Amino acid sequence: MSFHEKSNLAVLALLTLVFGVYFLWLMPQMAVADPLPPPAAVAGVLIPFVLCLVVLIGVVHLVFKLRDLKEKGEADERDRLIETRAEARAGFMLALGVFGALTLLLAGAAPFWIANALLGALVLAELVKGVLRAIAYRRS
Amino acid sequence: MGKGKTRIANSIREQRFHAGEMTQQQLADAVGVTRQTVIAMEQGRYSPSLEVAFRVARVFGKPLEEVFSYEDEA
Repeated sequence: MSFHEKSNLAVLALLTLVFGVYFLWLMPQMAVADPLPPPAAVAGVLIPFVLCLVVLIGVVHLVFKLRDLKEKGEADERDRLIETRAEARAGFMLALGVFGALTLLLAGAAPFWIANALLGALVLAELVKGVLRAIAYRRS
Repeated sequence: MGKGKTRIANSIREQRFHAGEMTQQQLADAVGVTRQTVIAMEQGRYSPSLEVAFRVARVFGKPLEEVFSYEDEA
């Protein structure tokens, strides 16, 4: 398994874990509050999650690098092709999410829901990209 | 690249054997790709770019058409 394939799987697992905790546990708790938390409060919860994700990804990449010092970690043409194709397909998911957020905005939804819809679209697009990359690495 | 095998066949495995059982890693280093890309090419799961195909042929000191061929439709 190449560095890029391992990295993709690790990022996919970490994204699922970190944002799974946010969307399945924390966000539902905030959603039942009356009134809904203001955007600043949501950001206050989200920033530690994003920082945690960045640190975990950094640590995992460092471990991969230390386990195989000969690995250059440079992407070759196959890696780049897999990345480009996965990005193009996942872009559809992102566009759909943005459209959903715009619909919420027009429907007069609270900023809490619009922000979470946008974040959800971003995370979902990254997950789709990761899954497509993982499949492409195995099949091509 | 895509589902299943491509119609571009190659004799990389055979050429490696004739090159003193060159390893996939040695070929990958000489061409500038990862070992996984060499494996995918050998198994016919990935068609390289023209540039990489030329580099592979050059490593073996063979013309391109001796290493890569395009299979006719059955």
